[in-house]
Amino acid sequence: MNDRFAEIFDLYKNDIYRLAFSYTKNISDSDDIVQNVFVKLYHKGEILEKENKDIKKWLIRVCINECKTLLLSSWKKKISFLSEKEENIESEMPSNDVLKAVLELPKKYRIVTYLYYYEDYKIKEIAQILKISETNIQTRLARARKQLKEILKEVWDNE
Amino acid sequence: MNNKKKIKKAYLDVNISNDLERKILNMTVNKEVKRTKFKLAYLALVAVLLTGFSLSLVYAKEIKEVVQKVLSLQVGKGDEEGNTIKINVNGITHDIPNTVKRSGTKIVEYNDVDENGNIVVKKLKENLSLKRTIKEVEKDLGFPILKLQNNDDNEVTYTTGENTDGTISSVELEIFNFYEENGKKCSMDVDITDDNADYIVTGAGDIDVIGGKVDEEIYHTDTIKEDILIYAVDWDDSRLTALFYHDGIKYSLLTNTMTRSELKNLLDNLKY
Repeated sequence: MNDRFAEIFDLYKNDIYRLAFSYTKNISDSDDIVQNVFVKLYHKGEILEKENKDIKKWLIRVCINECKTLLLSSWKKKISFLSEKEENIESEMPSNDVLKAVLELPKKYRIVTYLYYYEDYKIKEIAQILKISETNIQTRLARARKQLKEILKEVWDNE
Repeated sequence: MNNKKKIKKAYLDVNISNDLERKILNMTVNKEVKRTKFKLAYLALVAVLLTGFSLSLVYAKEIKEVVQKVLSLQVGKGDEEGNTIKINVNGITHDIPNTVKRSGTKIVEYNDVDENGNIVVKKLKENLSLKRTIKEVEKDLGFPILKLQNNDDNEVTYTTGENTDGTISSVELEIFNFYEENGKKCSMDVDITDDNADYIVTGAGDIDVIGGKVDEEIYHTDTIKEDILIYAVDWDDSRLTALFYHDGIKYSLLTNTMTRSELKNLLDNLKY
């Protein structure tokens, strides 16, 4: 099992980290989330027996759950240290304009954007992963594209 | 470079650190597996577990049947070409009068990409929501929904769905303050799918069925005479969900502040 885990970890560690960062926009929170996700995978031997694409969907789903849980549990703490946190987020923002624009999107548009543009999932698959309707995904994508066009202007191609 | 490539390239700057990678691998694959010195005790434990296993198999079958029933609404009715496929499960739809108040829709335009990579402009009808009370909604529907004593005036987020021909397909109710007392809170979602719906609004929300539904239990309540699936999730210690159908209507109760026995007590107090 250790070899299989190491193989999956190596394959998907950065993808899951990028998803967590898209959600939290915070390095420290992303570290915690990725750690929790892979420790959960390690303890779920039956998941490691599945095909890689199914394991990846499982990892994405668990990662989103972890993101939600972490943000909810630390909500009060974040409010108390809001000013300090804002400074940290600012310092952790990447210099890449496209990534910066994606991270400026509202959370629900960011995740859909990540899954569609980065992970290449189809709308139907994203709907299954996020457990929301395809219509909802299409709407979120449309709004995300509109906002990305407004932020990135000519850098973003018309779709 | 197209938009997909631009985003993929942008994300290459975000990588897991070497420290974190080492930490995770140390916590998992490099961890020493301790060999037990108590083989006899271990064998005794296996014997006890095997005895319990045959009992749990019977229980697991019962859980599976209820899970299949309560989660069946997550299966869409339409096939990929949009043709209607009726679900062959009894008791998961309910007749909704076509005269019920509509929450309204708005048309959203978006660009999609077809199989050949061409951009196609599509229009979507997005359902809106209204704030109403349980009493108002019941009067409008012409049939009651399960509730607690004296919470007829609680606020409900009311959303209707429509079939492609404009007839009513579903009514979804979200009651955030369904129960609130002494710091204990419980919300309730009600999903009503019309007998003639040509598609299904799942209403599944955030209920997780992939990431880890744990400690499943079937609770039978005599007041409404239903088997109710109660479960926790492995990613949130405090969260409990109760799912069931009653008179063709799906109910899901969700709490982060109540214990299992408190939730069961609440379920025993549901009535029309």
